Amino acid sequence: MLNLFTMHMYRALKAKSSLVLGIIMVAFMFATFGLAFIIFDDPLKLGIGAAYTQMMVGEGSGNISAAGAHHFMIQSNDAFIICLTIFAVIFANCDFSRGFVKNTYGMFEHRWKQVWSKWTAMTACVSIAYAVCSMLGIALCLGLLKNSQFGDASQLLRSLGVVYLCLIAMMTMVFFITNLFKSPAGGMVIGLIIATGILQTGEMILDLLIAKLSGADMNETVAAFAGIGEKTFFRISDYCLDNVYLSYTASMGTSDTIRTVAVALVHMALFLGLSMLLSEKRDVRC
Amino acid sequence: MDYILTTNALTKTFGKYKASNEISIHVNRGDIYGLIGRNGAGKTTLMKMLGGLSHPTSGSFEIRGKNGENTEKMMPKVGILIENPGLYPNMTAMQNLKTKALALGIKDDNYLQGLLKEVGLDNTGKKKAKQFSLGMKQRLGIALALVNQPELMILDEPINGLDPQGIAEMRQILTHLCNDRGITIIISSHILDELSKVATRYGIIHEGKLLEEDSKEELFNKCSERLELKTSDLERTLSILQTMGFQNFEVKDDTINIYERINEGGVITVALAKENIQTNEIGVKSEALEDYYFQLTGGKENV
Repeated sequence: MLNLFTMHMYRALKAKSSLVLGIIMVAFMFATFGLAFIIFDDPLKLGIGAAYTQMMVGEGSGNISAAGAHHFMIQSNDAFIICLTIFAVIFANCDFSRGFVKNTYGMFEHRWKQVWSKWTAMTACVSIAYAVCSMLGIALCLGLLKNSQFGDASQLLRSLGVVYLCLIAMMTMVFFITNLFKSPAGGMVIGLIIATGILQTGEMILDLLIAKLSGADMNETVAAFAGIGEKTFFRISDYCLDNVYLSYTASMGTSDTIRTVAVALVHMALFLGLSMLLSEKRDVRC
Repeated sequence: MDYILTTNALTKTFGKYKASNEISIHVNRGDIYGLIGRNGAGKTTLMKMLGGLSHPTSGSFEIRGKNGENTEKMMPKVGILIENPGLYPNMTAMQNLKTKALALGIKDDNYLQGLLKEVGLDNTGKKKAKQFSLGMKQRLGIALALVNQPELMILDEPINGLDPQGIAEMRQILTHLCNDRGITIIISSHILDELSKVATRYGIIHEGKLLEEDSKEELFNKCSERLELKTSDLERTLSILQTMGFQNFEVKDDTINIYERINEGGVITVALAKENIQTNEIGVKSEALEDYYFQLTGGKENV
């Protein structure tokens, strides 16, 4: 399996798309930092939206911490997840679309080993990109924003870890969808839907429907959605990967953090397992 | 017999359609086994199963005496080129080879360079695979199939689409691999004349079924010799042939082709003369493999 992993890493490093996506990611990091610079310099100039962002990321104090910088530069930055999706789709599909898989797929008794090695190579690539972008983002914010301070290190570490797990889980989901449809279109669409938050709207509608059907007080329900009340009913969105990723903040309580990690791990295991199962059962068509 | 590959009623179905219908082939070590069949006959389906890319619906196969499902033990000695060669277009020939070599734990660049030389691609340098001609791509596909030093190569239509020079080069490569490296080759093609120049054994597939499996000698004996007869009275000649016990003959335009007892030309001439039928032309003729194939599979209209 190590040989297969080496092969996938070699093709990732040789692929032009990896380089292009890497450059785009870094470019967007600088663009996002530019936005952060304006927001944290004088949010009122940009209106209520920027002021709200500053309040959220700066935890109400107006100062941005390392964890807040990470949140703003990675989680709130749609470019990162869009690039990740594009990379996952291209990487997962490339050996099928080019037919190279014919050279290797028949050579091993269990095809799941090939899926596993491809996934680990993808994870390694995403980890490198994540580490570089996180460090760059935090360094830019802490180094150049006047309202910045390192803050709580444990909060930063927790944020780095949880967001990382969510991103890998999302990459695994896109990997599975691409394998399922044997086409880049499916994975791209799902990835972009997640990144743009369209799925969250659907999940919210489902949540409201469940609340209404279970006879919950709608005023309390809406207040809970706005974050100013207690959750008194079951919410599907609490267990959807896109929602837990987008709504995670470093200041979340332990139980919510554990839920976020659990949702990410379950999604990761589920979609990786399904991808392996699919490869064992399916014939190679290319 | 020293079989390197045998299949036992190998079947692949897609819904109700049987793309491969209980095919049992026997490939001797050192053979160039030609799989003949029209497009959609089931050649690629069979080859995909043998190459481990597709699961058989039923039946089994053995490579080097090991069951086909236990691929990890035997597939390292099988090289495949199914349909188009699977290449990364933005990589050079060497990088493509290296990608597969890494999967097998091979890190010797000199060995890979040797493979490129063997297929005549050692001077491609930094040229990317997307800039290769079809012939070069096919040869790179062969080199990829050779990376794991196979004992058996499965090549699906490797000469398809090549120009005459490309076909000749491919023929040269295949002959070299078989004669000098002792590699057994299964090759499919619908360019029968070309196949007949390299293959030493044949399997004829039609509509998913193996119609016939012959050695080169057996097949050429069957298809290359027939007695062609032209007479002054076609109808009566046919009747006389039947009376003489001939069964395997056919009429093509004004000629009767007799496929059995072809050394009895003189007896036929005498018999016809007794009935006052003039023999205009009689002689043993050879036939192209293609005509025999058409005869076997139901005629040109099916192609």
